[in-house]
Amino acid sequence: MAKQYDVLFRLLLIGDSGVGKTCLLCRFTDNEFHSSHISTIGVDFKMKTIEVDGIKVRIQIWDTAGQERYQTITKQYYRRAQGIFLVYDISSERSYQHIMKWVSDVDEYAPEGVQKILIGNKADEEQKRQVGREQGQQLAKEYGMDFYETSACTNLNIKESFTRLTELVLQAHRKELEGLRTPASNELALAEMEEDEGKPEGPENSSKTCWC
Amino acid sequence: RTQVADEKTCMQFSIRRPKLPSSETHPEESMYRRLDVAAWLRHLNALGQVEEEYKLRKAIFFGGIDVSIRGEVWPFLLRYYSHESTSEEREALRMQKRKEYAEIQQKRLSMTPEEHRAFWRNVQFTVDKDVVRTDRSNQFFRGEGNPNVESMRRILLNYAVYNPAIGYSQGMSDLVAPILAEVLDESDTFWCFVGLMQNTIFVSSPRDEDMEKQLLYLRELLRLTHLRFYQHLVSLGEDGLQMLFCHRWLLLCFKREFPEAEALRIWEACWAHYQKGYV
Repeated sequence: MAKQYDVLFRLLLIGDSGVGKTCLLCRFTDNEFHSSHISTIGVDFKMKTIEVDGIKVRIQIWDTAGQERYQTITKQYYRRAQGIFLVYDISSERSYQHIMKWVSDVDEYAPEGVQKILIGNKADEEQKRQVGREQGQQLAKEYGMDFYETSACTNLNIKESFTRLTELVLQAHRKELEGLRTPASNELALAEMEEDEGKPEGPENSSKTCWC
Repeated sequence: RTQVADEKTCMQFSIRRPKLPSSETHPEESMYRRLDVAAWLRHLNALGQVEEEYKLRKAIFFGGIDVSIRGEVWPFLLRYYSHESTSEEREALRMQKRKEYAEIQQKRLSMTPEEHRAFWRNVQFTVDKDVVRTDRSNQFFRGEGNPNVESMRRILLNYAVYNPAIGYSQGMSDLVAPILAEVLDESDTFWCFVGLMQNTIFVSSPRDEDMEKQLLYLRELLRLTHLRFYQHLVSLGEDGLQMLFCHRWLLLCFKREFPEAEALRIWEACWAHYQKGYV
């Protein structure tokens, strides 16, 4: 049966509590916005397929709790991400300062070569702005990241930033993906590799693991 | 569409079989009706003491508590009131605890600027973000400038002062809100919340031991009762059995997974600690 997509990527949204990670995600996947969203506990994820450069990319976007106390969770979701959104709120200086801390978490837990972009969200709240656009640009430059100011509320730069991170991940994995655009290629896609990783263990093996 | 519908659609479980045949239920289940005022009063003697705690717990486990008396009965389940206490003793306790609560609040309000900065950074910043987005579709917390939201906020801030080792973790607002909405009084709610917290996974903070232990039980249960699903998780590789998707179920006791009425019914059954000497 024909696959609905060519490749599967995992993207991750991180940043302080209340900067609007869930709202960014809902705007992107469902084109919806609710200002009084509930706080994220643990992880949630949503999926969306977009086409970039002729490739159908299925993106699985993991939404995290700003305050995560379970190390086991944190490590799990960083470990398998290929792209990461670092999100702050332009009306909160503190959330901007904290990007440094989030970057160091990424360095510690995420795989090497993970793609990152910086997002300054709530760009519609101009009257409450505490972080200048140039500060965002400056920080992004320091870390070698692309930068977007977004607004989930007014739908500013949402599609653009998600598409951009997807492109970056595609570029980073260009080698593995070569030949995807030629229909007769052998299907060497990341999605395939992912699935191989999780090869079922033999029954003896699995029954052993439950008793340990 | 209402906001409630919007919030819930993406996350709720659907109940496939609301009624189970009697062959699949506990044999005593059909013998208990919801605990209403009349039934509740029959559990109390003339002094207002609960006559037989075990019977009460059992009745609540099987039948639940009528909404009209939740605020009165929950403080027993949450160990604020002891079952042996008389009505008079409970009134005295409430007064004494109200004073204690005021003292905790006073302690919070008289921090040095330096202490306050640290408190704001570690606790208040997150509490402020969370209370305005907790149960706002509930009538009790609805609307701009609702004073009940402010009560919830004070309870959480005061709790962090009372128990600095736990402080505030996201999710705690989800636990305190329904209690406040039933118990109504701020001080009483605070002390009920103190009792509740002692029985939650939050207490293992910042370590993960309790969560790990619960997940271990769940894995074993799955292996025993739903072997095919268990094997599916095994086949997903190392991530499957981590069961990330269960963390919130355990942390908030299914509050986000079921409509509020069902979730609170689950809470009550758990709080009744019927036939269960652990947790």
